[in-house]
Amino acid sequence: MDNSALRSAFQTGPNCPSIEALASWLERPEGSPERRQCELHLAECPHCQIEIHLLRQFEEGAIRRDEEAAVAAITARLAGKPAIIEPKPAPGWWERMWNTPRFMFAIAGAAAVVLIAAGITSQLSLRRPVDPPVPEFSGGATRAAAIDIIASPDSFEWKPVAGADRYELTVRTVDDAVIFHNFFTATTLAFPPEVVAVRKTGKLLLWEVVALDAAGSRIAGSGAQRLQQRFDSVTPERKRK
Amino acid sequence: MLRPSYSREVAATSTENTISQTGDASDEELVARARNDDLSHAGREEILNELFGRYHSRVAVWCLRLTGDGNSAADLAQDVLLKAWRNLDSWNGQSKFSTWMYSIMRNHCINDRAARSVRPEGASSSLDFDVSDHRGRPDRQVERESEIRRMKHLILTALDQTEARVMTLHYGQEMTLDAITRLLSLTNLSGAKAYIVSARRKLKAAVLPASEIFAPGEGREREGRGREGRGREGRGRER
Repeated sequence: MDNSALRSAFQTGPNCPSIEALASWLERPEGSPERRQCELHLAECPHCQIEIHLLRQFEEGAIRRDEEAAVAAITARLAGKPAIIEPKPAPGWWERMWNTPRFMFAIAGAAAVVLIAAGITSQLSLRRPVDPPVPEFSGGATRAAAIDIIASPDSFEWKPVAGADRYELTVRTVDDAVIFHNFFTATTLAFPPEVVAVRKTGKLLLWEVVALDAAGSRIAGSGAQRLQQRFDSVTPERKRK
Repeated sequence: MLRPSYSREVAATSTENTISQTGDASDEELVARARNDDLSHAGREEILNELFGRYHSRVAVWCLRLTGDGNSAADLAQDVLLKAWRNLDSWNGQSKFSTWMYSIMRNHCINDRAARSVRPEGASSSLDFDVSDHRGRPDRQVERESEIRRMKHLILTALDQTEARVMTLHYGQEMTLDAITRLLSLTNLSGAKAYIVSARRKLKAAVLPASEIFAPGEGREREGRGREGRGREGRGRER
């Protein structure tokens, strides 16, 4: 066996029917010879399996939220309508001056002075601990709040979503192995033992919360959030290693 | 350079009556009506505008996922729709119209990519687990076909569904990892690449005989991991 056989296994073969034939055979009544033959072929052909999957995806035509704007712009262009995004007007005198290097240096210098002054002032005032950032999502709008946690929080926390009946929490490793998965009505959860155990190894974890309505349909999702224990405060022995 | 424009070719005409009549019709019915010889040129265009308008967003999404860029996707979608419009007569009704559209779009995108001659990262390279020395190289076609069948079985049994899909799109259709990530809506951090790494590791372990994987004096973990699969701990040990 050589690599070419393996590569060929991923490609369309001489026995692979066209996607049109595959799709039409799959619409035949169950048990009919064509459908049975097609199902047998599909069961052993990764190439045709992905073809059918992509065809179904195309027919379904679902658009992800992050694609909506771009798709709207493309469809407007296809329909021959004017572009949604107006052309940028020519820059005015203020904008031209703002873009000159000398002016930018002057602004940067002034900003540095202000920051130093503010820093000195804050040193004199009472220090207040800063709350660690908390991933949040609300009203269907997702917000990417990727964080490498230094302050070692001990719980997951998210903002409630209007209309949510429960929340589905999934924690997985970067290679997509699920280490924790459950449903909750509360919006906070202390790290379960499975998560604590993996965090101790310093592995990067991804966690995601999905808000579900009473029927179990998805209302909103947080997207994958990073959760990693940094070893900034670990013993000097470990750092020496 | 001037490009042929789908939107110019199908410039809308305002015959709202026809739209209201065609709104509920299936795609196949619309094509049948458009092929009616008694229909005026304007009437035919009207029906086809309705028909292809139904596919604007579906084609746009596909092209966007494939290219990852709104402008390129718009150009590609224009070309796809223009090609379908011009080749409508080739649809023979053997399959659903949507399947035919998908087929036109998919073939056009593959040809477009081939014309640009941009090979995806890693696709031209070896799969990195050449075992020809262990099993010999079949010369005859029958043996080769049997070998390919065995490989297909291996892919479907050793890999999970997503890994098999990612590997097929990358190595079989030479799709870029970014495009696969978008096309399959993979939400993990490193997208399709993570699936390639784990699939290669699994295939390597499945192809090589156990005695070679667990060579005397070598730990299973070290040998079982692919080159890319070695994690922090593995590298630490090597130092």
